[in-house]
Amino acid sequence: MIITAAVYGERFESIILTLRKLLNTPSIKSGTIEDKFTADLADFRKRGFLSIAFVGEYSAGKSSLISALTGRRDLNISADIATDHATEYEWNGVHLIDTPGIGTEHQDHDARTYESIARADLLIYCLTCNLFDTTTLNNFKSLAFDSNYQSKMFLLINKMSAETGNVEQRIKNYTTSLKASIYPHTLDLFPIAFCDARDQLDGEDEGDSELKDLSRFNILTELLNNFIDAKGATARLDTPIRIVLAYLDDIVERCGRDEGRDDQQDLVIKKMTGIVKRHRRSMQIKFDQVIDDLARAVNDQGSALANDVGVKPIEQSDLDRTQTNIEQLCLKSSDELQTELKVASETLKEELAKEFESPLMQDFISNADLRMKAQNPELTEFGSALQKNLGVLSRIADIAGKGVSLSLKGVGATSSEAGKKLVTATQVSKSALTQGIKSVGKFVGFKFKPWQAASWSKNIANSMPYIGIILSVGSLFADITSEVEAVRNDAKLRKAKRDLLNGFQNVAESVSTEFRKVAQEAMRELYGEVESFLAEMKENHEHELGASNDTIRQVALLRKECEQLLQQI
Amino acid sequence: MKASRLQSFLDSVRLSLLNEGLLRRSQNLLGSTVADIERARVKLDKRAEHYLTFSTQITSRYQDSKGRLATSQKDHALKLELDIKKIFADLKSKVSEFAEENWDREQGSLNSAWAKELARFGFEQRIQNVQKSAMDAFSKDMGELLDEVGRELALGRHIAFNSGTLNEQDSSAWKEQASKWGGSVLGIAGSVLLFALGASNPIGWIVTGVGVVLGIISSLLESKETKRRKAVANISNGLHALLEKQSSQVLDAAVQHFNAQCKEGAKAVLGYFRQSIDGLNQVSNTLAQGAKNLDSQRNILNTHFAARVLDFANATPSETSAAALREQIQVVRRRVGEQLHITVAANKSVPYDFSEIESIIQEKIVLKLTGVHA
Repeated sequence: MIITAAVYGERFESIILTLRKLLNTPSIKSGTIEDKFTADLADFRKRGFLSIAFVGEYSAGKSSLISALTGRRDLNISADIATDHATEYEWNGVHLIDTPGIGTEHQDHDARTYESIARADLLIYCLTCNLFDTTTLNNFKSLAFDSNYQSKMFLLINKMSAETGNVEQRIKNYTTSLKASIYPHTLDLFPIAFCDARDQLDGEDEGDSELKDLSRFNILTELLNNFIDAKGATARLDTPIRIVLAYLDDIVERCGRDEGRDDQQDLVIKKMTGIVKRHRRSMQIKFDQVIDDLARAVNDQGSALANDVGVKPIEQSDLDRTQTNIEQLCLKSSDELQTELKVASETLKEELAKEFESPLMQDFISNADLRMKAQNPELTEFGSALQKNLGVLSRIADIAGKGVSLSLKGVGATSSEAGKKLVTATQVSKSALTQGIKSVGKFVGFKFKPWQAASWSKNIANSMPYIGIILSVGSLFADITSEVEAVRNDAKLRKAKRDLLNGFQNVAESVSTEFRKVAQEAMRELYGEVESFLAEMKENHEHELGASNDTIRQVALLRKECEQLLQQI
Repeated sequence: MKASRLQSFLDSVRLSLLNEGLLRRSQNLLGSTVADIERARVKLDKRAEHYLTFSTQITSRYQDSKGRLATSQKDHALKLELDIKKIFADLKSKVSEFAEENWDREQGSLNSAWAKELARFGFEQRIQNVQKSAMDAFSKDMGELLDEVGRELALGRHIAFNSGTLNEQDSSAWKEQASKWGGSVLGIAGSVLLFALGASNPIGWIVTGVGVVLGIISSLLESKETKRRKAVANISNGLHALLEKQSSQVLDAAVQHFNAQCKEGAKAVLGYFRQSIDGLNQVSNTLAQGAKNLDSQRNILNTHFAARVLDFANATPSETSAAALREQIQVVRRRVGEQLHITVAANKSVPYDFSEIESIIQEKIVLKLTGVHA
């Protein structure tokens, strides 16, 4: 079992490879196109769509873990401490960061390693079944609570086979020990897995499935998958896939065939694709605005409280008020998203409708009628592809509220009937316009209440130990009697303040993540239908052209693969 | 007998030459030429109309494009705003620790510590990066727009050629128009991009010192601990307020700068639209002028022919009487081989008999008299 994100990544890499080959075919190749593609993908190459950092004990077998996860033995793995700095591997768009181990030789990470850790989406903290020692525990706590990476941390106990005994019982014992180590924090904050990477590697090498089962690696990958899923990290593949799709359009365009009606159909599809693409982008930016504002407002709530720490007492009522404020902020953001969505569905409809009135579209539709009259569509590949696309076009026209007069529904209509209807298609039907984009109906009752799913209240609860300290600040004022006590008190307060800020930051993060997921879903609802229609039109068109052009045939296959991947991520 | 018959035929030819010669020559010279001119005129008219239609379509794309560039500008400006706010939010998250670490510094030393913190944070670079991204994104949108219009134009040309609306003569005019679009893409996008990259700090923001009046009240009665807490709170609040203020300053400046750049870019793009529209209009006008010239030549020929016809029907044809008639003819509409419609401003109504002449020229003659005075 391999992590799903990497499977997606691998598929995407293979798509890129084929696309590069296509870009190098003599009919397409031009000095700049491949460079442009490389430049457009630079951001993806630099960051990948997911980065996982392996942190922890010096001898915890981090490098073996990476090998076992990736199934690759060619990574730079040394039995000794591998390097003094973080080493980064690119694995199908997943960036794996191997950091130097913490131990007696290396008490702490260097600045570069910290930078890598900060950038990573996921931190896998690796220990052996010896669990924490003082150094690793301090390091772990510092990362989890001081640097506040707790929400992206995953605790992994490797080398389980190093000790004997009943595994379940040992896991139980280890869990108890771990709980005690990180008290007063709770272990529930971290997903935790127990495995043996070496067993997995040996099992692979020897084809020993029993050994592989013993390694408990499957459980690890499942947990990792859930974790990555909850973060919505694979959705980041969306952007690079759409870049590839745009290049596929480019290739079809460059195949330059008849410089006439085929190209015209191409341009019609391209223009509509452009409308949806730009609309989607606008929408994404507006969604980002609402969600960023919300996150900032939540953090501001925390800052306001934190600034008072040590200056004036904080009452339970202050915390209660903050909680209410956050809920109000979420409600407000939800309403804003809802409004944006309604407006967007209207403007998308208008823009598509307008395109149906453009001279290009009118010319294409009326000419398509003539062409279909000229030949029996049932008999020729060309005719049926065109007819199919006119059918899809009429479905898009339905969405744009132009559908009443443009009612060419598939193969049943004869060409003259179709022509008559298509020619009048450009006349706006007001009643049709008011019907609106059908899928928008779904949004009428669509409730943005992702904060209910977000674990923000849990986050607030998790910061309660410090809130307790904060609440007692009032009494601390009076009780300071000595310099020593003052210093101790100061340290406590400082920590309480930081934890409070971190707590709010986590709230902001988890609320944002949930809002983003729902926003993503809303976008899928809003654009998905038109996008899939356009993809279908491209597929039909490319299928027709592909009969005589190998490149276009490959483009069609690649497009299908991209569309499938987009659906799955 | 035979000879006398031949003689009679020759006589009739002579008579016909005498009586109808002038008219027949007119018909040959004037009538057939008019048909040739007419064919050329119709073709020119059609081409002129095609260019005009295309110019109208480009004009409508001009309007669309204005809207599209405005939306693009709005989107990327908003994105820029979000990015800048995010940078400031990140910076704000450093404030608390900074205040804790530096609470007991003097004002000057505090300022330099904050400047160092800003440098470590890479503030200036981050702001510049997001500015560049915004400009790049807008430039890309402009490029796409120009590319799309260019392609539509080229496609229009090909389709028109294939359908026979345009001929080879149009090729160079079109090529000139189409190449303008393609060639301009890089030029415009590139020049706008240069504006953004040209200056290291184009928007003129300066975010440096803390600028917070510390105002620590030194009181003997307060313990060091209390002073510390107050100083920390003071620095935190001060920095938060300062960042809030600077955030809106930087934001305003950056968005303003971005909008100005976009405006320049859009101006250049829309300028190309105008040029293209003007170019197409010019071609259309030239063709229409040609058609008009042919039209006036056709009118002259038609007038001469109509004058001959009227003169012939008058029974006493002569060059002078025909010239006088030309002055009176207002409009001649002729469908060669079908109908001749003559409008004459005559002082008095003259009875014309067109039956003979109609049989000669094989066209139906319709006469309309205007300005008849009693």
